[in-house]
Amino acid sequence: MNARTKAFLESKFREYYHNAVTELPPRFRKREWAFVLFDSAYPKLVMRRHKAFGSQKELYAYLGAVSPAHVYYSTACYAHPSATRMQDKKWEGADLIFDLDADKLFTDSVPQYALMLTAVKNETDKLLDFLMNDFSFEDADFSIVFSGGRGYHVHLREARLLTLGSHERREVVNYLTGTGLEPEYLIKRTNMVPVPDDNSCWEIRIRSWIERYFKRLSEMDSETATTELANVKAIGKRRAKMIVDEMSQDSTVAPLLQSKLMPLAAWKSLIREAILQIKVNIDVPVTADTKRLIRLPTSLHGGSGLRVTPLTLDEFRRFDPLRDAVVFSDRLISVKILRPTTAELKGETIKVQQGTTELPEHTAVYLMARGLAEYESRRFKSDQK
Amino acid sequence: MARAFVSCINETLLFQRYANAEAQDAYNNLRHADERSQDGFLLSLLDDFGMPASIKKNAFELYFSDFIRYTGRLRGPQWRLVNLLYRGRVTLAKGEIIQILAEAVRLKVLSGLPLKLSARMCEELSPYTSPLKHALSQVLLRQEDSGPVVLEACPPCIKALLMQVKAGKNLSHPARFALTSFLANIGMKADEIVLIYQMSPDFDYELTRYQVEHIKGSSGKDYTPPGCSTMETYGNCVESDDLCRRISHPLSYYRLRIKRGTGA
Ligand code: SF4
Repeated sequence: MNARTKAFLESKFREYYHNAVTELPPRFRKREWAFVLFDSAYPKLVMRRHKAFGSQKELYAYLGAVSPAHVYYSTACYAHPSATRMQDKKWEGADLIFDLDADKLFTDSVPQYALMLTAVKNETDKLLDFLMNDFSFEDADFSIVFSGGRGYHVHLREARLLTLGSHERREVVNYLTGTGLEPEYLIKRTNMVPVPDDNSCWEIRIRSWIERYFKRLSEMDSETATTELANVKAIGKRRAKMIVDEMSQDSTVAPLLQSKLMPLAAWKSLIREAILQIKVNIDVPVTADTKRLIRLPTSLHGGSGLRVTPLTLDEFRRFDPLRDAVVFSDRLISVKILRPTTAELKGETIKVQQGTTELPEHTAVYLMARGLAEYESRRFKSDQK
Repeated sequence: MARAFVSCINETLLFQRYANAEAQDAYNNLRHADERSQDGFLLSLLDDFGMPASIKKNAFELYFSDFIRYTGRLRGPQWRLVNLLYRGRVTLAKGEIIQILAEAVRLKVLSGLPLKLSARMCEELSPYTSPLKHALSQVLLRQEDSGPVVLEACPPCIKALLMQVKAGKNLSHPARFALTSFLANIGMKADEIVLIYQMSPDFDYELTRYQVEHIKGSSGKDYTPPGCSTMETYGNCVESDDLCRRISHPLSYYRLRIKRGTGA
């Protein structure tokens, strides 16, 4: 990224911070702040840490003056947030944070940005479902934030959670990922009679997954169903056929639970499969960390120029990051493309080739922030004559 | 008085032992004193510890965060949130509630130690405390001298990681950390540990050496290997066996095996 591009991005960010109303986290005076600037090292991330602000005005003035590429604050509250040594800060508690990142979902191949964002939104939806049902949180208890990059953050600030240690937070993560679920323990615990359609614990989630699984099988022709079922470990072709035959007479799971056709090992591997499908793919260390830095909602993400967007549950449902997190205009500016690429902001798919071209400001900023383009000029070439 | 003794000796291990003993006492009292273990009494105790509970159909209901705060050290599926949570709460039997209360006592005692006592007071107590201090230092010495490294006695998780490295697989960062810090803690030398990683496809002598030294504590820090629950979270707890049920830390597994003789 050359100096002109940096200067341009910085000026665009400054414009944004002058007009934007930034949202502050509760108890913001007790938090540590950190910034990455469009300085000579950028895009290498050099973090300026251990800042603290006494008032909203102070913070706004700072943002307006330095117009940072990235803005973070600590999930923790400290007695002395600006102390430079951790042990001097005096930890008082921390928000519980969940980080959903597309990087975690696609380990082999990386699909297009838009697809990644859809997948990670689905994953976030799963998390919210767990939080609202199993954990019984209301939508007012958490805030959902689009990270401006490849994922979402969910912040929980319920008072009873703030002083949980790292170990205890991991227990929450283990819940979401189904870690430590014992199929046998679940099978044995028959005393709890679940209300149908009440997704409020793993046991019921797994049961209804299995019911749906057999329902799906019963809707297939018997040959496909047999092949599918035979894939489950410890069932085998012969037994699969017997089960499918039995199912064609009664399509509910109930008789199967009684019959000897499904051995314990088969139930277990079916339950394992259910867990894999139901669990949330969440970034474990982030939640376990009680001293994390997290992006400020309403700031800009320096790696995309998109807005780190706070969302209510309703807004989240309707949210399309490539439309709703875009803050810059569609005035044309001229850039030099470094590598052929595709951008899909504001519902417009723009394919660009190497060389100089004119793009709407939002797409230009996006490509520059990603290091795929350099700034040329604000005006049309034809105007300059 | 006992707390004053302990505070003057000022040794973490002793604090822990002392807190355990008080917790054990609390547990026994609650278990055996029948009329005191009336539900109402337990409820008010829970309240005192800041975890208001309710009773439904003879079982206690706790808010999940109160539950996880005091059950991290307890092992077994019956203590895992994943097997218990329902709508933000967990349902527990009286015996389990008593165990949680004992754990709350333990943490409370531990967080209150050492008491802030004047040097003079400790001076006055020293005729009583110094023999204790001496005995304790013997125990600590014995603990530090961990003896030769016996790979046979390692828990299944560590053995599995060793196998993976030997098979030329790259370990994830948490796995690598777990393995290195474990080996360092049972007394393996940095050089020997580096040699183990030689088989990794991404082996880089300098880097590995640096990482190992860092974890081993030559740069002034001391890292303890992750406990079983952390291992579990990162999917590194594999093939846990019967002995695993009785411990919550891979190092305890190792020490137990050594104590029993590795043939066990
Ligand atoms: S229970 Fe603990 S010691 Fe045993 S395999 Fe799992 S992590 Fe290792």
